[in-house]
Amino acid sequence: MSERTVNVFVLREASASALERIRAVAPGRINLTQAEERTALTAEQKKALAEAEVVAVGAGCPHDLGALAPRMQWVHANFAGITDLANRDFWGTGVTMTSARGYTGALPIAEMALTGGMMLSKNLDHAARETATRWKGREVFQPWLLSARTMGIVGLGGIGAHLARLAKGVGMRVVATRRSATERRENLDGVDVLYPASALVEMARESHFLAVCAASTPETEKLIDAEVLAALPKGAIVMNIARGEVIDEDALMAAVDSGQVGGAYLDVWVGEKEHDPDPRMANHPRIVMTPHISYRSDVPQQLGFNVFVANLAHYLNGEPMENLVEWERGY
Amino acid sequence: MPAENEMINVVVLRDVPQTDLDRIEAVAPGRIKATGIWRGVRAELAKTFPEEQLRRFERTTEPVPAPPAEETARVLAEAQVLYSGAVHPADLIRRMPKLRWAHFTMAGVSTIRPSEFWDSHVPVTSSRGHTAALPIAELAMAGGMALAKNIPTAVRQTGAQSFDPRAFMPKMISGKTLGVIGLGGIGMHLARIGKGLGMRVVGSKRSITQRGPGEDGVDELFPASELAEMLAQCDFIGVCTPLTAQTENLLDEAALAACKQGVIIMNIARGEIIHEPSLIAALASGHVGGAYMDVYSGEEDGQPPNPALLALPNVVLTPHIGFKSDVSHMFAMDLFRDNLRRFVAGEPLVNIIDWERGY
Repeated sequence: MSERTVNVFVLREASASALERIRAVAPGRINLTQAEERTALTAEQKKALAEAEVVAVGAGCPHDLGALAPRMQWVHANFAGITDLANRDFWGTGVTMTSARGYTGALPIAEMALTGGMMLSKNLDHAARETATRWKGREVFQPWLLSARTMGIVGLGGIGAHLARLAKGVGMRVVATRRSATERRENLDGVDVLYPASALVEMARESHFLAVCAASTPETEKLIDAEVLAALPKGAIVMNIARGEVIDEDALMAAVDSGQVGGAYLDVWVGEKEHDPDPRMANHPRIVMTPHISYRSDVPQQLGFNVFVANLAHYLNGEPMENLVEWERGY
Repeated sequence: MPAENEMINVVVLRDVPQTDLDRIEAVAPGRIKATGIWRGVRAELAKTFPEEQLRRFERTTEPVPAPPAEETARVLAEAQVLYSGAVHPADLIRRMPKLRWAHFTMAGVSTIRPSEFWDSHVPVTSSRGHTAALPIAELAMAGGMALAKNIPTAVRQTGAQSFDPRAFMPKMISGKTLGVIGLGGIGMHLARIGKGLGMRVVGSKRSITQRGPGEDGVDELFPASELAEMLAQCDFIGVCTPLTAQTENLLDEAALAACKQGVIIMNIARGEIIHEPSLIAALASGHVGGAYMDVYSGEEDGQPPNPALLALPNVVLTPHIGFKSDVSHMFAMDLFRDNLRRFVAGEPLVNIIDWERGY
């Protein structure tokens, strides 16, 4: 490990213990400054940011971070869906970028996706809305036997892998697509069948649950379109905990209206940063939505910082870092 | 054992299709005669049971003519075996002088307490462990997960089209402790699913006398006498025990107080196992974080749920649908046919109700 001092700037909220863990990577040699995001920086903080070689940011990363931190060599986005940063001035430049993909709340997000699907398949949305009694209104309840069903995961990454394990644990059959898969393979990486991304429609044909866990990139925009939805078994349940843009919302609405899709749990929607969901979607009795909260947990998930801390050691040692962002791929 | 040439007459007091009667007769071809008598006693049942309750057990809403009363009386008088659902005339046993065995299709038999079959001399079997244990366990877990993840809030906000992220405080499921009260057929399925979700699973069982590690992945087993210690560890509690004199109000005010703050309770067994006024108070104070219930107090008697329970935002209630599933397993019929084979062969039956124990 080289003996030089490194200027590190954490531009987002961070607990004292997280900051301590960052300093502990190379005691005495990490010159650490921290500031809250979305608040005006003091003159001193601005000066520190201008000197920073390493910057960790949250989703509120300034648009001109590249200009504010001209000496920045490496920026770490402490969250997963980093396409949100594609309009920042450092995107696509020679700066090295890492993300917390697969680490931030991947487990709570996977749990939320599974819960959303199970809740709909057991008609608990109806139960939460209306009271039926043993003698009246019970016909509405047509719960599925989960252990006779197949979970289809679009994007077997960090969240997808957790979801696969949990769905298996409930007793389901699990199939998935992965961008890097080149051919259909059975019994691989915790799923019964792993398909290449190009075989999405084929996978959809056997998916009673379709869980969207793929990163939002130009390639995945409206990936879940009318063709994919039509391939699902009738009455299938769709869960989206990734980004609204990955689903063609008009196609989804049409499929839910026709009964082709039996229900949808959506933690995200198109343009969620700008506006509420399309009222047609939120109004539908078979759609349940949450305002992008699936990552939340009552147990602290500082796993994003784990990646940063591990990568900081790699950075100082000149070793390859994990979770490098490829500008072309978009994640 | 029935005599070699004896014809075994089975009376089926459920509205089943002919194919089910055929399946029963196929257990010992030529030796068994199965007759459905639901239509024959329906008018009589209508005097005691609400019409809606009777319709629940019927395959068609079309009126089906009843056979002559003398025919029904004759079939009952000749039968050695009865296959029945919960709904039956309380004095039926008196009209079946040749009866040697009665099977009920329910897992929990507290509903036959008012009937003369209770504590009778005739061996009575239940479908305990052979009904829809798996869908019931799945529903219990789905209900607990829905509450942990604030799904009722999601449903309300979606309906109102007013989204407020601050109202969501979802709890982790992985790493939490699930306590299963009653590790029987349903309880063991629930335990397995809990393990599959990354939970620590503890449980209680009537037959356990000493605390120790359990089987099939259960991390720790507690005797009934140490229930309070078990409850104190649990983030989720699944109530899967039959309703008996011992389990009525098992989760009373003191037991609920012993639970962890914010515990989520799932009850798919019988409402009366939980002292409902205490549960309502604990839910209102937040000591109990949520309750998913497929049953409630008085449900079996046809009473509506307590409005105070329905008014709570952290309660999800379903109308006793746990047994339902889109995949028909016919577990109860499978058990009955196995027992019928044993009956014909003169072997001991399984699932005979122990009247003292109450299940």
